Amino acid sequence: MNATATATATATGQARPWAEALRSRQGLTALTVLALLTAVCFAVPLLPLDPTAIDLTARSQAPSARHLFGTDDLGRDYLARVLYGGRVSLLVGTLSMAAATVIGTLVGLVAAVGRPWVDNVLMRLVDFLSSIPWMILVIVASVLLRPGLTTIIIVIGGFSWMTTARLVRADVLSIKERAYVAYAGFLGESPGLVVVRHILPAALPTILVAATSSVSAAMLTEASLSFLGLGIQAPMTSWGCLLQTAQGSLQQQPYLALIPGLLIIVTVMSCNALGNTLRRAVLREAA
Amino acid sequence: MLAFAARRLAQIVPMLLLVTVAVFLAIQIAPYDVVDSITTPQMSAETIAMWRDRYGLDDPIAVQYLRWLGQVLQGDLGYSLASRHSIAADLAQRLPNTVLLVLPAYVTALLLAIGLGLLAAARHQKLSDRLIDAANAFGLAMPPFWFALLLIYLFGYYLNWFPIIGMHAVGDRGLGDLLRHLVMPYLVLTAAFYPELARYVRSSAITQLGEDYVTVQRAFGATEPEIFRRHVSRNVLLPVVTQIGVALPMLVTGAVITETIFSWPGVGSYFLQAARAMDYPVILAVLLLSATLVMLGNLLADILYVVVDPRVRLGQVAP
Repeated sequence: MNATATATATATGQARPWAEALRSRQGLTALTVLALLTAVCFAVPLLPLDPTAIDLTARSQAPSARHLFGTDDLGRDYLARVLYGGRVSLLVGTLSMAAATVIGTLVGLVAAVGRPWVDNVLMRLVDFLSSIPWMILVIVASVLLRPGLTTIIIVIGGFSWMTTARLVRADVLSIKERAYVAYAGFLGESPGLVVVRHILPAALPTILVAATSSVSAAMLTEASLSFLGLGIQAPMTSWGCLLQTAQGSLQQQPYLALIPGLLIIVTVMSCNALGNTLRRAVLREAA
Repeated sequence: MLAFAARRLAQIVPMLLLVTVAVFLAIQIAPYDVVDSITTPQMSAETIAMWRDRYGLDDPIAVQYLRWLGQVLQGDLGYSLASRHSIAADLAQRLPNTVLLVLPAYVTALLLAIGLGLLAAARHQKLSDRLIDAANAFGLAMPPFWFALLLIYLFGYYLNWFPIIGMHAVGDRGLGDLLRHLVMPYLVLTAAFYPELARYVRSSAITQLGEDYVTVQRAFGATEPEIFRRHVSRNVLLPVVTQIGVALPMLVTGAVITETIFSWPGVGSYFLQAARAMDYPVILAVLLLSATLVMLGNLLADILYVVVDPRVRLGQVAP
């Protein structure tokens, strides 16, 4: 790879992966689906739907004009519950991703530009955290902190930054060797400024790609933990919680399980598709 | 090779100690303990204090930890605080159940992934490849427990073909009954393991097909099946073999959710129950076991890599 060519490419086109992803049909579809889902879930307070209104005269009803997705065992409107649950699921996915990305980027960056012993300590920490099976780690952590919305974000964000850290470290190690970074240091720019102005922007595509794939991982983890009863707690709900409740009435109302699961799949597939288009765009640019 | 393995094993010991210290501290910091989970409102404060005392929960953390460590070093994993059962005996009983579930599922998923992954790469951009790739994408996004619910509804309730809970029907210890109980959890786990493996095989086979040696083979008139059988598959399967080492810890903890849904009496459901009750000797025992397997698995992966690929020397794999 020619160092100067890469330097000009990154300098002129930091927003390129996004633009390119938007031009591809797959990326555009994925983004539209995600935007629509988010819009519907977050606009739901504007609709005349109450996810907690219990109506004991209308328990476990099949879908009808009045209740599009039917009602659950307490007579609550299932459409409202699915939309409010989606809000929590999307929120947990996004916030955990943000936490994991910030921690992962910081650790990776510091490890790559810091002194060798700092690098060593941080990377051993990453190895250490990776040496406990993920599911076990997350279950122990969420029990210890007492299950709930904040806990689940802390747990997922706090224990899923290791991959991002490894990727960012590797990327920054190679960016550090580029001519324009060396030149900036040669001109007497302070090391902190070099990192913020030159290294971090060049690592942005890698960070972006890692972030999109951590949204889907976070959403799936939230669903699993909530399904086990260790995630979101009643009366709040999420798609994982809805699946847990649906297990109880599976024989009579299988659609209560079908709907939240399909929504999880659609959301996660869209995030993954977006991540893949971004990754391809980044790779093309690097080539 | 022996010296390498010994050096790596020596590195594993401090790592494991660190894992246990960290978890022990975390459990101590937690705002409640196992006694809180077994007390009932009827118990008097004295009774509760007596339980705390009996479990040694009032001793300083260091004392509790060293007591636990001393026992483990003598091969004694201790007793569950909630059930008073011997943990070693419980694990010995449950471990084979988990292996019985995870091993066939993983092997099936791996073979399917190799077959379909190579097929997809051979038919890259054609209909069959698109279908396989779409199935992979769907599988990666699907929560396995959702698939489990669908199976339970279809095969358990609607068709009534397979039992939905446990390992044996009451009073029936026969093989046929066991297999009938095994079907659904096995399918769920296979579906959980398959997509990632398949995606991996497919994408590395596609990368291999773009390599110069494939072009050379084509130029010399080799047929596609020949290229696949003699060259591409070998290069793709090299890293897949090392995956087996990485998958080792799954034999213990690969099925936490699946076991819980189907009430399969394995290590995963045992662990989840203990975690909910803050039963720390059990949590620590399972953690110790699975962390050991992760590290041994990584070692195994490195060694397998050298065994299958003579170009790699041990010094280069892991410093």
